[in-house]
Amino acid sequence: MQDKTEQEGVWTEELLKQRRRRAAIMAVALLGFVALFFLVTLVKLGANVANRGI
Amino acid sequence: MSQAAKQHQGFDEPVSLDTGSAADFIELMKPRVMSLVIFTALVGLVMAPGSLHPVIAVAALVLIATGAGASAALNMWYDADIDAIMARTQSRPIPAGRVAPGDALTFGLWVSGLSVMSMAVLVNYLSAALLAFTIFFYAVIYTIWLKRHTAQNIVIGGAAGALPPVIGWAAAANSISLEPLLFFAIIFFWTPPHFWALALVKNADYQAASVPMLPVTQGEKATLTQIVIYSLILAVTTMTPWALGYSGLFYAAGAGALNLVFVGLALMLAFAKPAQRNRMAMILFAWSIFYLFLIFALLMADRLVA
Repeated sequence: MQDKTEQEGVWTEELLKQRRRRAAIMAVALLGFVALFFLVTLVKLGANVANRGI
Repeated sequence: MSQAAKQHQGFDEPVSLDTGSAADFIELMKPRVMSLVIFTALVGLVMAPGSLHPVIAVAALVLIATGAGASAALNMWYDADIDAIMARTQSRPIPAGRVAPGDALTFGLWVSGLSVMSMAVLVNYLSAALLAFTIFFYAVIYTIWLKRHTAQNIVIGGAAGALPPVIGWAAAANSISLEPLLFFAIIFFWTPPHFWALALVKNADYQAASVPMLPVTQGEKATLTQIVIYSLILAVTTMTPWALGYSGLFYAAGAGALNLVFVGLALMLAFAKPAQRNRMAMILFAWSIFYLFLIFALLMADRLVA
């Protein structure tokens, strides 16, 4: 359970560290998602990826 | 919804620090259940006619897993009050106070939307629609409606857990035929004996939380009878892919052997002395998980061998 300090809404050093860690993991997950979209786009375009007007 | 219920679900909760760690949010997605979802979806994907590019196949599996995880987070949000009562679920992130209910709800809704829309864009509309239906069925029909109101909760609600191989099939074939519906039926009839075995052991928990599981409403004897009946229906259902010519003798022999063990354990549980009942129920519960993995592994292996 949350202790008194947390309930009062004070960011302790430990909580800040945990939030930074969570943000970093979320960034990795989002980058993975971007990579997935990029790769699927390449696969769907296939050879047409080079077929465009200059 | 009453004022007390609203408060409990996090609508009126005071502004608090978002203290949940990444591990807490992963736990909200029930990763162990997710592993079964991924595997059965993979089998549906491999068994479907046509070929899917490996990158799109991976995307489909990631999105099915993500959608399943999101519906689990919504389930944990709604069930936080009963989770806090039951010993088995007291340490989950919301009842333990590590994640605020509102944060879990927001997380579940966002990830649900993200997984369904990505599925539509990256894979196809049919699999996206099925994924959306699965999330809706689990979070709304099962969790909000059935779970607290009928002893048939996990029977009907089992449909949500049975859909992943159908979604996997739809991702690859962009259609549905009888074969993936047989996969659906296998998981659908597997769910009651699997859950009721656990419910027998956790009966006191469910009673305390007023969840009308079959052992709570009908008693142990009726539950044991139902476990045996559903085990027999399951055994017959698992043989239908072979009977209808979708799978070969390799699958039939393996599934037959697994069914003998499953039905045997169900009968041993039904006739177990009261002192041995919980132990037998846990053996059946553990075996049922292993059994489902093996049945789907056999289906896939049989196809690959053929």
